[in-house]
Amino acid sequence: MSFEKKSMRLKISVSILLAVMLGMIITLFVPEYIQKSRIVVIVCALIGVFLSFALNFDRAKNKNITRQIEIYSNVLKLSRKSSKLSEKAIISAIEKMKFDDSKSFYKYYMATRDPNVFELVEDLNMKQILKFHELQEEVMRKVMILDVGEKTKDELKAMTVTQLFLLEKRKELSKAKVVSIISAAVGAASIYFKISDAYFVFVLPLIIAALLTCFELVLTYRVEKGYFGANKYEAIQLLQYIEKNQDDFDSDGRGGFNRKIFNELKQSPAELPSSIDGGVTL
Amino acid sequence: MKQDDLITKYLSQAFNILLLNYPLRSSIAILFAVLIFLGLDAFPVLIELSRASNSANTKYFFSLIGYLIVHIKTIIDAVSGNIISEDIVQVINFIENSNLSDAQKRIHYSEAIAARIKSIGQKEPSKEVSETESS
Repeated sequence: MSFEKKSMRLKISVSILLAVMLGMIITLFVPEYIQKSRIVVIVCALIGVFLSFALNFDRAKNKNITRQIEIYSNVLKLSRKSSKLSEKAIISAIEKMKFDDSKSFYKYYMATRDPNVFELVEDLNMKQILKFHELQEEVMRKVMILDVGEKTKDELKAMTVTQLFLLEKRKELSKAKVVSIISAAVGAASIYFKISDAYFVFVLPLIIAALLTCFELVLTYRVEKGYFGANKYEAIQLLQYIEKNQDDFDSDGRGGFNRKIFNELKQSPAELPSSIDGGVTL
Repeated sequence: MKQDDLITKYLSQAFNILLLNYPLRSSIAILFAVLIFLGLDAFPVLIELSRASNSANTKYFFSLIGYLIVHIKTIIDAVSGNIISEDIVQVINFIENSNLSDAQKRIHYSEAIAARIKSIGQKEPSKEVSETESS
């Protein structure tokens, strides 16, 4: 359950932040006679409805799999400490088993923990219960055998140099975005409290944040398509990155000498980059 | 070269130039500039202390100087230019100016970077040995 709660808290905080930003923008830029009319209220309500629909759509898409992860991680917490890394192993196990009826499994699992709730299990067959037992055992075995740290190390070893560069760059870019949004908030507050009347203190950081976002998109596109690094400037950037993080590239670090340098070129032009979902995650 | 390759290449170069190659540093610098601008707006005494006229141009000037102060390290790097060794830069320039096709250039670039990584791996133990000997 903790997983869902966390995401809900995040969504609520994001929505509050968005509301504050919208209110600030409206009070700053929209003239007063429009503010008093009902158009602004209607527009804000429409934006809120749209955003909530979008968030709910996303949630419904991920609901099933998050539920399964929660259940399995709860099962694991009984026996040994489970970290975020072990959840990765659980996801792969779930994907292999194609186990879809998570609700009834949860009922069964609760019944085994607390004998008072055993009535709930009555609507399940003996076969289903057996199946759940098998699944539980298999997951436990897999996680016990798999050293999860080793697995992530292997994943990092399989990544190319350009992907490592992208990881590092995206961390830097996200930090830069946070800083620029903070400065935009400072500028907006100063305008609101009439310390300053120059809009550049508010607009310039926002422009920088937009630039950073576009830069990130372009970089991920280039790396995932395999274009990155095959010209002079980008090769020099890669070399600088290697020079800075020498420890990652010697034989004991996360790499080794046999790491590939560039991503493979994707031949079909219609193929979109699947960077954010699949390949590189922060 | 493909069309999207060219466009994204020029776009990323443009972003790199706009952000002076260090996005985090330049965003911090802009935060500094904004803070200086607001400080001069809130306390006009500071402008009188520096014996400048109280106009918008003075504020812009001082915030620009704040921006450049954060970027001092970037400027030093650009002037001295010894982040990576000259030999590799020469090799890369040679590949760039050669008459090869794009696919061949790509292979050569990856070979050059792989050679650099190998040389780093070979240097590491010798450094440790020299350190232990000296101590």
